[in-house]
Amino acid sequence: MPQQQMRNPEPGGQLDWWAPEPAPVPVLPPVSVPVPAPAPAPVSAPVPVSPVPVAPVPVSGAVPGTVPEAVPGPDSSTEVYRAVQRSAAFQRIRHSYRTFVFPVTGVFLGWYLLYVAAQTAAPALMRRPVVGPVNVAWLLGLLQFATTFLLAWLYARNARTKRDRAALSLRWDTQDQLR
Amino acid sequence: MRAATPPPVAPTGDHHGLAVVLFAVVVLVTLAITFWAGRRGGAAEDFYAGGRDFTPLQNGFALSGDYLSAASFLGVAGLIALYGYDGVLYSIGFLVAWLVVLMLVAELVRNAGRYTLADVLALRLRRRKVRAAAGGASVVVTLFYLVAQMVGAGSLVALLLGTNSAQARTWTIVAVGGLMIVYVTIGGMRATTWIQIVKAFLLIAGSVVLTVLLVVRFHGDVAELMRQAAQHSGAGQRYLEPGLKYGKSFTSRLDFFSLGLALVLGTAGLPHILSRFYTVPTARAARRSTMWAIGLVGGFYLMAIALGLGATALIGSAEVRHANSAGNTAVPLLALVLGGGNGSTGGVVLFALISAIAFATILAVVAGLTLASSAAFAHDIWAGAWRGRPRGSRGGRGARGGRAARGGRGARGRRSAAVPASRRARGQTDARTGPGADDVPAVAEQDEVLVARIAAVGIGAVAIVLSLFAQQLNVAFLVGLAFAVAASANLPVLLYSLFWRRFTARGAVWSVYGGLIPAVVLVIFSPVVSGTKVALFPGMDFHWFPLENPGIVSIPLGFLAGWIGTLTSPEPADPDRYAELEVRSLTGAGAV
Repeated sequence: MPQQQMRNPEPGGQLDWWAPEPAPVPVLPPVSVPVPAPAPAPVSAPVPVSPVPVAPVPVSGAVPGTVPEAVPGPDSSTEVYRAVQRSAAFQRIRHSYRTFVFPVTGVFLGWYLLYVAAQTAAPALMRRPVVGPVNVAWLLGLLQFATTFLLAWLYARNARTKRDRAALSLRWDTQDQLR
Repeated sequence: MRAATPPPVAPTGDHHGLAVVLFAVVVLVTLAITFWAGRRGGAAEDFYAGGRDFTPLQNGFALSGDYLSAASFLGVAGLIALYGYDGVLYSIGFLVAWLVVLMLVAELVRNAGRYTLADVLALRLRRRKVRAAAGGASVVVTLFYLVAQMVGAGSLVALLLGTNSAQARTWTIVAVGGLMIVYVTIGGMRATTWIQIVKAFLLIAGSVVLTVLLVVRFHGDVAELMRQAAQHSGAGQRYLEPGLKYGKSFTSRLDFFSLGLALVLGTAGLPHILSRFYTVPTARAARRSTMWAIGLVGGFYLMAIALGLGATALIGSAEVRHANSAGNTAVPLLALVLGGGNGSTGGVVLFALISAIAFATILAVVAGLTLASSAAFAHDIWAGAWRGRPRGSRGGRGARGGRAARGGRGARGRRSAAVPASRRARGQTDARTGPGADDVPAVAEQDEVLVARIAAVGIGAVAIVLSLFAQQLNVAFLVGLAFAVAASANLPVLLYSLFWRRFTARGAVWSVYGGLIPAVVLVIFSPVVSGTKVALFPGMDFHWFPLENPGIVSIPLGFLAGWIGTLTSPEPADPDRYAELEVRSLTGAGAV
């Protein structure tokens, strides 16, 4: 984990219960992330990007809800977003997000629904005593608390170490292109 | 939470005097916060999002403040006091739901939206129909929730103050409704957030004090606490086993499964929770506030379990039920006992303190709900869908570029991009959600905030009237229903929009109505409305749906309708829009 102790972009970072050390997400200057795509050519319009003085789309007369509210012409910002979406940097962020979140969501939803269903399906098992007054049902219930805290912490750690830096620099980079 | 027999254990005059004083203090403090916060800016950004400058810790407290209603504080502990383990099941559903919020919703919604849930959808599906559907569903969900809280407030405050007359309940509902209108119209999101923070702090602090006293009373022996609770529950060992409340028949178990599904999936669709993520500056701050909320909510429910067990162990289920048939006064009664018992100074003070905290909880939650509801009405239905594009389409693309440019200069630039005025200029519908430099903005925005304030008054009035009619309804049922509607109507469309490349506008509309309509219809034909002695219309019987909670049917229907709507859509999804949504939601590029 890169230990760059730069200023924390948001206050209160030292207090986070799941992250004792200040999270290593420095505010980076707009770093050029390689965007292997048609890229800047159509993009570098002057600030404020006014490619076409967007022809007043005849909307007011449109039947509400049946006509798209804006006609999406091919415009420069669309190109930027498409280019960024195709870029390797973005695909890495997307991949690291989805490969963590989708399986984990399946696991905790499945585990919770199994636990709820077990009250109906296996009452005898749930009644079995474990330790003192604690039976299987109480044990599983407390485990639900524990896994919730654990998964939340794992998710935050994953986001902090795998995604935050890349996402932030891609953000500034994209916004520079949009300018 | 229906009117019960007069509480015999607790109330004997004197400590109600102190409770009244503390209630007045709560009202004065919250009003002071409102007027203090209301003076700071009246732009849409301030009204809907509190200026977006809260810290993750503050917003974490505010999130848990919005979430931990009186139904949680008093209701869950009361259920545990009466039904033991089956009450614990409730609290687990309420907590696990936050993982859905944390992983699938919080950060992406913060990046993609502006003020409401419908903003996220509008980023890729620019149809007024979509916005109207999502806004309407949000209003319905918050109204159900609002009625639940206010009905609860009526019987609860009357109970805590020791009067149990119908008149006292009615006036409580009217007063609570009036207060929430004042909070929202004058203070907006900034005041509401501060009220939530104060309330959450008081709630957690009060629970910690009670839990510590309880643990000291039992010399730290939790096993002994559980044994004593089982002993005094009247049910013996069965108190600690599943099935005391939900074990009577297969239908009632299925009903519980349905409720569990609604609880775990509903939280991520609750409008007043979603709009909280817009009060922090970045997606990362949204994640960190959710982490705080998970810590606080989880810790709170662990304490609530202990307090519920403690109430049974020290007071006994029979006494708790006698005081209030739904168990809602279990915690205040426990406070009385832990403070030294009836008649002692400590007991009286603790009882009054806990009652005042419960009152603050009710006020804070109804304020949050009213705000979310008025935002959905003004921002989505009025400005977004009904009024359409108030200023024509001028300024569209160019303005967006300008906004993005301002947002692109590092943290400071990002903040300044979030400066008031001119945000809402073009009525959000054509919305790349960002207006900016166009020439006519402020008026439209001021109009919208004005409409939101008026809507808050109107929604508050509707909620008061509905609550007066719904006074006999069970509060837990109404809360469960609000969660079921949120999970059926709001969650499918939100998840499809964020994650499904081929999702279309028709899919979105079908998904919202395909979840909303079955949920409401099934409730109308459920045993809650007719056919049983405790139903809304006990004299009639037109029920054919056996379950009280429609979640198990309506949530899959919401997902199914969105899927079919998309497949049968005459036009394909626009990949450009999805590219913008995906890049923006995962990186924050162009986010406000």
